[in-house]
Amino acid sequence: MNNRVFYKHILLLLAIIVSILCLGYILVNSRAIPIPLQKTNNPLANMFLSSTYNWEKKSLWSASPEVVSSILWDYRCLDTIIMFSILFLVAMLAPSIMEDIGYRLSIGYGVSNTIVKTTTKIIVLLLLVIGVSVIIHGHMVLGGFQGGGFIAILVLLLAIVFGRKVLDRIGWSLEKVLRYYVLSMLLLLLIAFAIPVASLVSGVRGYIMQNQWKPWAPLGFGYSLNLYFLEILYSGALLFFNIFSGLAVILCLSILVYTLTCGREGGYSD
Amino acid sequence: MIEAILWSYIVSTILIVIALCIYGIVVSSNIVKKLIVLSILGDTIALASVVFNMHSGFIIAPIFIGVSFTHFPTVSFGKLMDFSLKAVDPLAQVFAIIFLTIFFTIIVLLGYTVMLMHHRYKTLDIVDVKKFEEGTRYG
Repeated sequence: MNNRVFYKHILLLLAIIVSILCLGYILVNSRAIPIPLQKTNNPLANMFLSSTYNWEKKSLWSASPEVVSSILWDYRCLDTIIMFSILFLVAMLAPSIMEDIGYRLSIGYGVSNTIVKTTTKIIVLLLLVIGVSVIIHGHMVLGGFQGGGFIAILVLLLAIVFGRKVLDRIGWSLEKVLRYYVLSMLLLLLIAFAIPVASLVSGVRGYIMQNQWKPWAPLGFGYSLNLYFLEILYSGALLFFNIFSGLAVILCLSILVYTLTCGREGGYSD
Repeated sequence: MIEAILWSYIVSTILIVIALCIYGIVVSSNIVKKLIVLSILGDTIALASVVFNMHSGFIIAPIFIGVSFTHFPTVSFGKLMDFSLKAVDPLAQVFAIIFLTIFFTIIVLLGYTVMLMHHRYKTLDIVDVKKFEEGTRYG
């Protein structure tokens, strides 16, 4: 690198740092970045924190103790559905792009190291249990996206360590994964549109992605299931949304893993 | 005073990382390096959204403790208000989840674009790609 280019780079770096620090100064002065820390929470955050599990005012509650999951799948459900549709678009685009270039990474062969294989077998089991548990408890801790991430990592590990053959052996193929992915997205939409359909049938007011009963829209998924010997809290649509979104994330990431390692028509053969 | 100094240090570190990421994206000619720096930038922005929404004394996770599948007692409004005076801002976490998901899709798409580019030009250097394009355009 000659001197001129070197000084040009230094100048560019300084210019960027100075402009970012100026932006920081403006943000701090306008209280967008609070220094020192603020002593009170945001009013909107307070509203969510005090209403998601409010038994005394059920008109605004989501029957879930997990506030983040409630916001994602109840209060701001439309945003989340749009986020999942973007994921869906990418997962649908990926196989066609890879088909065009016929490009495969060499991670579909598997490894021969026994220590890696044995460790992976143990980790795979743990990941599966944790993933399923996180998805099912999505309306209480974390959620479907995080649980789906756990199990998707499992698929990636299997593909890298044991090769594509093990995915074939458990009966997975790109076509099958794509089909199940579309099905899981349709199930998500089914839950989202269940209340408007019920509203059309019954003639009572109901909204898209409505979770709980409201005084002005008396339709909802309920929140507990009485099985005579015990009562279960399922927080209405949140449980179903978490299960189907977890499934969608697993399948979406599996499609990406498949397209990178295996290809469409069989991929690698040892 | 110490709190303000530490807080200023954290904020300035985040801002400098953002500045370095922008510098890396602008200067690096290797497209994979650009992609790596872009992913670091995305993670830093998600971290910034959570850090800038922290409030003094609000330290517990936004999950109401003591509720399970089979045990879900009725909670009084007073308890709920106590909880809301200690729990962190959930909106920042929601923003981080949505941002990281959409950012992940962007990174994946860019990754595929890089692979397409490598397939076509047999190089990952943006300067070489430019030379190749100019060469084909002007013979």
